[in-house]
Amino acid sequence: MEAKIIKIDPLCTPITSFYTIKFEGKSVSEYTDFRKKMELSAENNEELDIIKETIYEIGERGAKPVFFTREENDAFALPPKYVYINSKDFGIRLYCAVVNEHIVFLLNGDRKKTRKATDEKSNVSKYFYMANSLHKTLMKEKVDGTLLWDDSTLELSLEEDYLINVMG
Amino acid sequence: MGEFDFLENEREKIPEDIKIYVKKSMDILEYLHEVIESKNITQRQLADKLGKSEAEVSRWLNGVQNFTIRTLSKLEAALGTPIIVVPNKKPKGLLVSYIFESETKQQSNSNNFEFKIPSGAKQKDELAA
Repeated sequence: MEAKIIKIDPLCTPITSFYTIKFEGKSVSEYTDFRKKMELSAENNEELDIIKETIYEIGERGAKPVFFTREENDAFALPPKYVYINSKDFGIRLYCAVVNEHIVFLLNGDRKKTRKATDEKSNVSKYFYMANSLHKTLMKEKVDGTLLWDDSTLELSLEEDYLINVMG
Repeated sequence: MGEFDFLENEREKIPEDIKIYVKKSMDILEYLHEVIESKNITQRQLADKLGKSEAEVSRWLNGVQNFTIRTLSKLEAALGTPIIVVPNKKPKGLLVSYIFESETKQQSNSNNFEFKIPSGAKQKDELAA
């Protein structure tokens, strides 16, 4: 599915830029969808606050590899393991793709109901695959020269009508 | 209205204890990795120093396993540097308050401090007894 890359301006800092994607035909981006979905239930508040604060701290410190301790193949999930709180299930997961130490894509997620994100019955598998698909496409676009960045790039240079192909 | 307007000033609503928890967790993890890197120690070498398996040390360094004070003490000993520093305790026993009196006494060019011992405060020698 084709998606537009959108910068999440209110979260960006002088050293970290946060992006998300918005699929063609959808009314909101993946990150907004995640937030609105999680905010429907008050039981999610504490875990969601931890994820939000982790994002703010990453914004201030940079997207250093040490902060992303929950590896999901080539993608990652928040909250990282060092700020995980005990939950009655496996807890909330927000899947993301890290481009370099200055650019992070915040995607979508849910309260994880199965041990493995890749389980057939997993309610978060689509987000796991979405994040990995985005990461793979971003890398391919870099090799192809469609998207240009290096380790120090803070902002992706995107054409107005640029769409990225991501498993949705 | 922009899609991300709901994110504006959102941080102000996050409880202070959550902010402290996340900040301290990241501080410790980041500092620990900086120390290990500056000392040029491998995970294997650190594990040997601690008498632990490399997998266990890896769990600590990735925050998979919560640090206990005992764990942090072992790491501090092995790395030869403090990881958590507790601020010095204030002197016990003598509570001192100061009052700016320059305004009330109309003293224009000097700030006159007056030290007062609250009536319930114990003297130093009382506490030592």
